[in-house]
Amino acid sequence: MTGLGWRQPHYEQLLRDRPAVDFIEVHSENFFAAGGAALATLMQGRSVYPVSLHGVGLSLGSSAGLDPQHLERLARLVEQVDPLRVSDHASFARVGNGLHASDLLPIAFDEESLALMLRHVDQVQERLKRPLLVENLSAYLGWEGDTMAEPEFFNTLCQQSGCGLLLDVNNLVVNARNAGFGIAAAAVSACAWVDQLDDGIVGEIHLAGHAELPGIVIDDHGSRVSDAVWQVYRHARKRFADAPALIEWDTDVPALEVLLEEVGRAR
Amino acid sequence: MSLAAQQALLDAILGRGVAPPLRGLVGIEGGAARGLQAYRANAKALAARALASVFPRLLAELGEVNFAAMAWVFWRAFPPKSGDLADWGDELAGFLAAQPEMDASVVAQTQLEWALHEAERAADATFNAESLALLDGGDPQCLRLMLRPGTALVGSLLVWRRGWRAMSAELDARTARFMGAQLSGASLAASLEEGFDFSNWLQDALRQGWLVGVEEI
Repeated sequence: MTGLGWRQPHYEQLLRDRPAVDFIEVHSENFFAAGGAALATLMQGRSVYPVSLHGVGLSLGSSAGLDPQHLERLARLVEQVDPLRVSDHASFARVGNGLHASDLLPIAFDEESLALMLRHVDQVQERLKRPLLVENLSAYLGWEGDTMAEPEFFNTLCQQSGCGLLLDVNNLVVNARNAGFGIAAAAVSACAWVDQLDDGIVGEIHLAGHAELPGIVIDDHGSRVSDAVWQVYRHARKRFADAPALIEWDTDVPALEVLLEEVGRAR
Repeated sequence: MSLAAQQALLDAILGRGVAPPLRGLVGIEGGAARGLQAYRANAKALAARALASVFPRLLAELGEVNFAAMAWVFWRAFPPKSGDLADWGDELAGFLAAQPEMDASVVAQTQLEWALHEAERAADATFNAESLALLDGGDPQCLRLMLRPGTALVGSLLVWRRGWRAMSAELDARTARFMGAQLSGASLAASLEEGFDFSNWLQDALRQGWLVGVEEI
C-alpha cells in the first residue's frame, strides 16, 4: 500500500480527480473541531479512500502526562473516521503548567523515558482500543546521558506495549546528516539503524524531503524525497515489505501531480 | 528525563531561563545553540502561520513583517495550551488591547475574527422544525431558543455560521440585548423586552439560520 499525506491545497482536487492512491493520511489535530468544513471534507475523503490518522500533538514523551482532552478529541475522531492506522511521535511538547510547544521536541533515550512512553502508549491504546504506531523523530538536539540506542528503545517499546513503529526514513537521514555524516555515509548509517530493528515492528514507512542548509539539515517536508532517503527506503523495504508507505509534503506544497509522481516511485 | 528539564527546554526555545543539559549534534555548526535556534525559528514561523489563518484582516492591517513580530511576542506571552493550534488565539484581542496606543478598532476587529473562527469550528447542528411548535401556546418562562452552535455577539455584531462559512451582521440595540440574553441561557420570557417584535425576529432567525430549535427549561 502506498499513500499520500492529504493537505489543504489538495482537498478539492483529490476528491474531484480521485487519483489511484491506496490510502490518505491526515494530521489528526486538523480535524479536532466539533464540526465545520474541515471535518466534513475529511468524511468525504473517507468515503473515497481509507484514512490514516497521524498526530503531532499527543506528546507521548511528556513528563507532565497526556492531555486528557487531547486524547478524548482523538478518540472521538477515531470513532468518526474508523482509520486504518493511528500514529503519533516519540516526542514531547506538553509541560507542567499546561503549555504546549506545538513542536516535536526530543526525548531522552533511557530507561526513565522508556517507562514513561510505555505508560502513555498503553493509556492511548486502552482508550482507542487499537494499537498505536509511534514515529521516530528528527531532532536538532540531544539530551546528555542517553543510555539506550534509539533502535533498541523502539524495539523495547514495541515489544512491551504492543505498539508498532512508524519508521520515518527521512528522519533517519536528517539525524545522520546532523550527526556529521556526509550524504552517502548518512544513508549507510540510516540503513544500519534499520538493521537493528526487530522483525515485524514496522507498521508504516514515511518518506519526505528535507532542506540542506549551511551548517544544519532541516526536516521541513518541503521538497522531493532525496536520493539518500530513497536508498534507505529501498533497504527498509527488503525487511519490511508489507509496511504501507506514505509520501509527506507539508511546506511549499506543490501540484498534486508532483506528489503522485513520488507516490508512484515509492510503489 | 524530568519535567523540570522538559520545561527548561521549552523555556530555552522561548528565549528565557537556563537551558537544560543538552547535547549539541556534531554535524550542526553552532552546536546546541543552533539546535535551539532551529526550534525557535520553527515556533516563530508556526506562530505567524497559525494566527494568519485566523486573523487575515489583522494581517492586512499590520503587514507581514509586523504581524510576524507581533505573533512571536504573543506566542511568548501566551503560549499555546493544547495540541490543536486552532485553539490558540483567543487571548489575542486582550493582548492587543493592553499594548500602548493600540487602536480600539483593531482590537474590535481581532475579537470579531476570533468569533468568526470559533463559529466555523463549532459543532454542526440540524434544524429541529418540530420544536417550533413549542412557541405556539408554550409558557415563555419555560422556553429557551436553541441558537446555532458558535453564534456569538461581539459588541453589537452578531456572528453565526451559515453553511460552512461564518458571517456577521450589525444588530440594533434591542435585538442585540435579546440575542445576548438568549446566548446567556435566559428564558424566552426573561429575554423579551417591551416592544420587541419577536415575530419579525423569528422570521430573520429562520431565514439566516440563527435558530436550530426551541427547548423547554
